[in-house]
Amino acid sequence: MSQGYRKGRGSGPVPKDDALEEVSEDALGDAFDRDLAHVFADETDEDVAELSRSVLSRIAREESGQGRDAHLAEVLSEPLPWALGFAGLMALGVALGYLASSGGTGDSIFAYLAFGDLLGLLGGF
Amino acid sequence: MSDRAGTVGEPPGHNQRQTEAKALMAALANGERAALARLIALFGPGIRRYAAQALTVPTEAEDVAQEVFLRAWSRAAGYDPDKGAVSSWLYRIAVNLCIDHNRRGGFRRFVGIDSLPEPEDESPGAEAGLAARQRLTQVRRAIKTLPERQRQAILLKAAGELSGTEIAAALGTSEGAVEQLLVRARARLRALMEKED
Repeated sequence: MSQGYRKGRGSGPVPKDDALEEVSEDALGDAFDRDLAHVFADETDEDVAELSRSVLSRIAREESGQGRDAHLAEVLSEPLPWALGFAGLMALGVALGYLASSGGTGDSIFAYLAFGDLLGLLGGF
Repeated sequence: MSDRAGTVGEPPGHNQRQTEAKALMAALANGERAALARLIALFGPGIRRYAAQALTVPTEAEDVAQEVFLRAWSRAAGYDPDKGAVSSWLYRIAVNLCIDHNRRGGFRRFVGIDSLPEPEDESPGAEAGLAARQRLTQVRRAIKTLPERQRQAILLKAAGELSGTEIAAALGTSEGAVEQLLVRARARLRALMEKED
C-alpha cells in the first residue's frame, strides 16, 4: 500500500513549484485514503438488511416494554462476575476511605498523591 | 455507499446524500421508521466499517452500529442541522461509543468478566482472500500505533469516507487541525508500511 506514495526521497524529481507540490500532496493523500478504504471494504459487506432488522426489532421491543428487563436478565444470568465487580468496588471504597482518613494525621500530601495515583490507574482502563 | 469512488475532495453524490439525510432526520423526529431504515442504508456500512477498525474487538462493530442508530432514533429531535451534517452527528456518536466500548472492554477483560479477543482467523482459504486478510491485519496493526486523534481522523476519512469538514465536526475540531492530523497519520502509516514491505 505504501508503494506509489513516496515523494521526493530519491525515487524521482521533486516538483519545484509550490502550488504543484500542494496539488501533488493532496492527490497523494486522496490516493492513499482510497487505497486504505479499499483494504477496509474487503472485510465487510455492504448488506445492511440484518443491521436494519436488528435496529427496528430492538426499537419495537423497547417500545413494547420488553427491553426494560434486559439489564436485570444480564445480572441474573451472570451473577458471579457482577458480584465480584460489586465486591471490587466495595474494596475500592474501603481503600479510598482508609487513604482519605490518613489525610487527617498531617500526612495529607501523601494521601492526595496516592489518591491521584489510584485515579490515574483507574483512568488507564 | 455506492458513491465510494471519489475524486479529489468530496465523493460524487455527497451533497445529494447530505440533503437526503437532513430530510430523513426530520422524518425520524416524527417517528417514521422507514426513514430510519433509509438512514441505515446510507450510513450503516460506513459506520460499521469505522467501528470494526476503531474497536479493540472488531466483532463488536455490529453492536456499536446498532447502538448508533438506536441513539439517532431516540435523539433525532435534538439534531440541529445548523450545527453540522447528519454524517458528522452520527459519526460523533460512533466515535464516542467506540471509545466507551474500548474503555469498558479493557476493564471487563482486566477483572476477568470478558475474555481476551479471539485471534484473527488465519485459516487457509483462497490465496487472494488470505493475502487481503494479511494486508488488513498489517494495516490494522500500523493504525493501532497512531495517536488516538490521528487514528480517529484517518479512520473517519478512509472507513467512513467523510470530508474534512465532516471529520472536523465529528471530532469537534477545526478543518485545519483535521488536515494536520491526516497528513501526520498518512506519513506515519506510509513509513510503517514501507518498513514492513
